[in-house]
Amino acid sequence: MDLGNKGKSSVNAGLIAGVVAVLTVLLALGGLLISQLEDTVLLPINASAESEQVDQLFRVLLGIGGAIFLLVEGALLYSIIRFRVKKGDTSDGPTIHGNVTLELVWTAIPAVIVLFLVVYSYQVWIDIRAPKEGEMVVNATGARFAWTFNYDLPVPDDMVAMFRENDLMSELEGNEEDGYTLNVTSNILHVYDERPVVMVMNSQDVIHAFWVPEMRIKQDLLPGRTTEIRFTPIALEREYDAEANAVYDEAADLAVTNYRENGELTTLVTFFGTDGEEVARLLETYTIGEFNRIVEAVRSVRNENPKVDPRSTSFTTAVKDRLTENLQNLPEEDMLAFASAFGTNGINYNQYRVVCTELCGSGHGAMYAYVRVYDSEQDYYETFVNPTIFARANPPDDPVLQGAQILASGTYPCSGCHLLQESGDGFTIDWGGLTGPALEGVGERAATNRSNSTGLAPEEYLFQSLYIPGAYLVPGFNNLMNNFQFGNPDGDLYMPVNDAKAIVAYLCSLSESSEYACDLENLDAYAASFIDDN
Amino acid sequence: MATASYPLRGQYVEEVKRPKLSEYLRWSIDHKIIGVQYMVTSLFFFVIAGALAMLIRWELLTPQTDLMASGSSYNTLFSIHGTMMIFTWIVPMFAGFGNYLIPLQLGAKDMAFPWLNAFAFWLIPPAGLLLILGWFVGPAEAGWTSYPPLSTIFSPDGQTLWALSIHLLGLSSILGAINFIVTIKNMRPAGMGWFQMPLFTWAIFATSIIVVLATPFLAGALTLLILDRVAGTTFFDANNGGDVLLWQNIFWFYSHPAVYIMVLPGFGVLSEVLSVHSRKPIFGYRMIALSSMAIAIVGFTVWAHHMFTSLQPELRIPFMITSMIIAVPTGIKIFSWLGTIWGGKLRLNSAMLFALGFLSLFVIGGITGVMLASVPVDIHMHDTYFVVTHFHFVLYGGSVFGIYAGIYHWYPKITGRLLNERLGKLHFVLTYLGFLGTFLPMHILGMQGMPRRVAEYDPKFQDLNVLVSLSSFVLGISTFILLYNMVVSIYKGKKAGANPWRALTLEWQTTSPPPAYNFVGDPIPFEDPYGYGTEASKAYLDAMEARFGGKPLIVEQSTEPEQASGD
Repeated sequence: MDLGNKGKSSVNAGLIAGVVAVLTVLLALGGLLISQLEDTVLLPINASAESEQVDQLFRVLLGIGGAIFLLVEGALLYSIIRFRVKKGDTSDGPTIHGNVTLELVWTAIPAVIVLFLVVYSYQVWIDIRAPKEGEMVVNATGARFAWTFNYDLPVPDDMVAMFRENDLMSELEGNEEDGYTLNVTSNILHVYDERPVVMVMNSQDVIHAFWVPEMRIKQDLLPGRTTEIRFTPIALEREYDAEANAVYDEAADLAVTNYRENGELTTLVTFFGTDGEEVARLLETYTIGEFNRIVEAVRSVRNENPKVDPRSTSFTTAVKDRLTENLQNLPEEDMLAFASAFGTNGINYNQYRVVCTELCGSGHGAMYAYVRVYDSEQDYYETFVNPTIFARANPPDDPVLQGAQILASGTYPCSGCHLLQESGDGFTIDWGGLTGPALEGVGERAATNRSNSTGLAPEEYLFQSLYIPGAYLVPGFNNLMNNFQFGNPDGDLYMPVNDAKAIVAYLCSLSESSEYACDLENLDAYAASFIDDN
Repeated sequence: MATASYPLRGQYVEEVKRPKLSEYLRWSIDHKIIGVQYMVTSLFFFVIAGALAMLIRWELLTPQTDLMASGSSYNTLFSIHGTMMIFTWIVPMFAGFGNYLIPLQLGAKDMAFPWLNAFAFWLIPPAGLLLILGWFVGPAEAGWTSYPPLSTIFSPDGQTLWALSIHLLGLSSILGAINFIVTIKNMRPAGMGWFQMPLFTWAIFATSIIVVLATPFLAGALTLLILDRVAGTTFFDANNGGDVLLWQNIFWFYSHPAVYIMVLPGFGVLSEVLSVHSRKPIFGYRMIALSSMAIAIVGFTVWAHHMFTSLQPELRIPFMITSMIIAVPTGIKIFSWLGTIWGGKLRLNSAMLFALGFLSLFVIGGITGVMLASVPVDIHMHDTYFVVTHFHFVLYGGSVFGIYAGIYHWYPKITGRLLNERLGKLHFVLTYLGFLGTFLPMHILGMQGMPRRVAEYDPKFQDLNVLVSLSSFVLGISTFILLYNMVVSIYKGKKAGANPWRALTLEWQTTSPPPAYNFVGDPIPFEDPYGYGTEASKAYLDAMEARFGGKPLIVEQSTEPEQASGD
């Protein structure tokens, strides 16, 4: 745009047109160049189908914005250099009050651009929020300062049998004809490639917002209203991660060792998923030496060909080539079971942060969770659904372990406020919250300081703290925790008494000294009287 | 009244003595005293709120919460930082400019309601005190937007003080605005029609209309909030029939127009400074004046674009349309300013540098504003550092740079002395670079996934945050160069004379500082406040110079930076 010509009507019109045309092309090219920044540094990877559309729109905005940026800053810089007053020049500039044509042009062109952007944005908006077929429904709850995700998982028939056997049918919903489902709560959002998801979201206290930057989706959770958001996750390629494989192998060995010692199938299934039962069978079929040699062969093939599907013929053939002759004849079925359990890469999902973006109080920054996008439906079932259902059908007898698994599952939103890092048989707890008291060594403190202050036995104090956290406040902390309820199973803050007892049993075990802090018989008695009193 | 030491009306004098310091500490109904009271008070709060920003950036050097004792105390930092910067810095600072300049630019003796004017100012110190007192009862920690229910049942008593404080500041703002409207409507001198008014006066007029129409909504929202907090009502309590979105709607119905309350006066300053220091008429005067009014009107229809993640999905579209439309009048202004400097004789003094800096930064804030108006893009950007940097480009790169430009431009009129140019340029360079280092990388942080209002963040963002924090410290320090310059130049600054810039608007056609009641005799406005480059304007300025004495600095100002010199 050549403003300098506006006063000189005699200037060749062709020259002006030429300059304007060249400038327009340069600006368009510049805008285009700037818009390419999007892919490289500006926006994160695209982990949802919707994100592609949003990014395309963003690129257009960036390109147009970039051209305007170049135009304005260019004109500004040019003016500063070209029109800076010469030394000693005290005269005024030309008396130009305006130019109607020019003013109309710079009103009309932005108006047209803006109109175009409105229509384009509208189309993208309509597209990305349209309901899709076969949506998976996930209920999300935001509470200060943690996320919980709730699913109804379909329970396969053989697992239903397990629930029946263990007298746990009350956990399932549905009936024989339509099939059963199990309601599962987790602090990780599990989804898989190309399966559309609709989140149905509620808040328990203040306003929160659900955001996954890699998916370009965000929606507030409003007290008193239910809000929804839709997205279709996309599984992305991962870098081969030898370290993750090593960690995975170590954990697999531990699961096998534990099973050898305690004989509990849960240990294997929670780790290997559906392959767990197969692994148990293999452990009976083969000697320890044979078993280890086959596993080693499977792993070495995998490490050399990390991208090959372990269930493929080329994979199993390569494994057989490495085995001694007597093992080469192992049945195809066993070979596949070995390959499937031990030949998978350590990680079969990509994980992204779910961030809370609406200020919700002191722990706002700590209020994040993860969404896992599994590479395939099969991975989703094998790694998440089936082990989860299996674990629920076969709860450990040990109340301490039971409590640990309940806490690790994220059924209750503890992670945002409490600090605790523990892992063990079938559970990993990694909480970093600072708003509430740290739970590391809480059993010991319950037995000493807290017991002295409250006059309650440690198990009594911990039990009371779950339902009436404000009854005694640890010095330096405010009464911010939810009061869990045991009366109403449909309530938002429902915590069955059995869960509470298991959690207390686990918390009592958190102690520096080897001595167990609590008396579990007294816990049963106290719980019974607590229910009567409240 | 501060008239005793002043010469009698109609008497010609060489130089007017500055009012004594004690006059600024007392109740005064002289608009020039009140204007300075506004400005100094605002600068005081600017320093406090700036210090809070430094603490915020210090905390964000690391991804864990370590400087502050807890998330709560961090939340207080940015809550009070935002509230103070908006309600006790930018808004009253421009009210100060308005107070000092509007009667002068209109050739009037004072504001229409001098007593009301003083009353409006004296509401500010107690209101600021209430904000600070919050620290003794558990300070507000729900952000400057204070969404319930976080700000009702989940916040300590400081939140009530916060609401009371803003109530007072809002009242002050409304009273001031009524005064401006009445003054501008009724007290223009003979020969000055609406379209002969200086553009700063136009900007204050448009701003005041917004204040009078919008601020009562803030007062209403705050009243409901206070009732919910102290009287047990449940306007915002969803469990008892209330609605959390009610607050957001009323709050933003005020607070979006409030953005224009904060930036339109900056536009006004820019129009004055660019034209005077380019020695060229403003380009498209009418379009600039009318686009201010257009922004004021359309600005009332865009509020819900702050609620794109909470509003009913269907309702987001109309607000996207209006929000995009508002880019058009804003664009008109930017192009008109470019047209103003194009072909001029640019004098790159400190005032001009900050005005050009304003233009270069504000355009970035405008572009990101259009991006944020687009619903699908905003869904990703909402409540991230992208938004944080967007409004800092508008309110710091825009409003605060406008304030700085205004200070360098009008300080000679207010004090009779020039600010030191060398320090002014150092101030500009450090502020500009500090600003870019602070706020450019924030775009990337926001887009990549860093939410706002967190003390604890994903460790992958640490490198950029360190860069931002270090730059912000430069930005913070640069402010003290201006403060030092302002204090020292009162005594050591070069004498300015009546009209050092040879400007045509009326505030320059009297001594610096102006006498009591501003003008000796009736001032005669030039037919066109920006009619530079004509023989008539030269003759007018020469005549005024002969009358008020003092040699114009325009010759010395040409290219060489001013040498600092004692009296």
